[in-house]
Amino acid sequence: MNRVNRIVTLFCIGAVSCLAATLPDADELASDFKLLDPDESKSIYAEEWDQHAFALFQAADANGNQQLEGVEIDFDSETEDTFSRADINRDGKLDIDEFMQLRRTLFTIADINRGDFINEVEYTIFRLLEIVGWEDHNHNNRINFSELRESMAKVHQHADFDDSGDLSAEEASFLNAADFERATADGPLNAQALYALFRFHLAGT
Amino acid sequence: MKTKFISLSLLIATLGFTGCKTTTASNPALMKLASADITAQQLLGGKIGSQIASAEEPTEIRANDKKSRMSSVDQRAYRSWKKANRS
Repeated sequence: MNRVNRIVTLFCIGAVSCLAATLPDADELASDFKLLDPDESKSIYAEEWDQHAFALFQAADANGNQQLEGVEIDFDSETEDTFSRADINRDGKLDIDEFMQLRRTLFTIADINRGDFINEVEYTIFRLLEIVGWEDHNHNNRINFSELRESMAKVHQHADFDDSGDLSAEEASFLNAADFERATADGPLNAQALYALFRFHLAGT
Repeated sequence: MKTKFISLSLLIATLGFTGCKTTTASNPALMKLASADITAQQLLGGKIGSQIASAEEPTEIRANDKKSRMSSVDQRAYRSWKKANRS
């Protein structure tokens, strides 16, 4: 029986580890943010975003023909759909202008508080929603606070591996230690507390 | 015959070596980015990208956008694209 328990425990730990790899952790987010913020201004401006997007395009364009083709992208069903919609002239390829237009749309979505730059909190939210999806009820390609609340509930549900309704420090590894402490100061980290943390960072309330 | 063969081999080797060196040296920063795994999610925004409502007009790049000092991008190629995009 002890042996069975041990195997089950090991399986659970392995499963949790796999889950943790799904959402980026705080260190990974900080390091990726730095890449987009080379002047360490704690803000990613549109120009910096565009330059990074341009570099991504060049790097992904394996045959150097200034077009992204299906063979150059490791598609899944979601990204294939995005590719098709970004392919405005319907030639089955993304040229640089189509790609940059898509990346600019992503920038405006990530810029939740409309400050014309992306701060670390907005970047964290963007990266999390890349994985779990988001809510855009009014289809304006912007996230308002009501939609943010629903989107954060998705993040919470995704991260809550043991379905306890609260996130442990391990489950919430996308938060740095200070934010986890702040979010759990008044109780466990439920979906509302997670939303409240991000709202506080974005709006101060 | 043997001399010709050796000369030809040397010529091919030299051309090949020079070609590789030129590619690497022309833009080492870009090559570094190219060597990393660029995922479809990174490129297209994952589930955010798949839920974009419709194609938008690109947001105009403003003259007062903060200048970046990012060194990992081929600045000349980027400026060329930006200039072409404005006209």
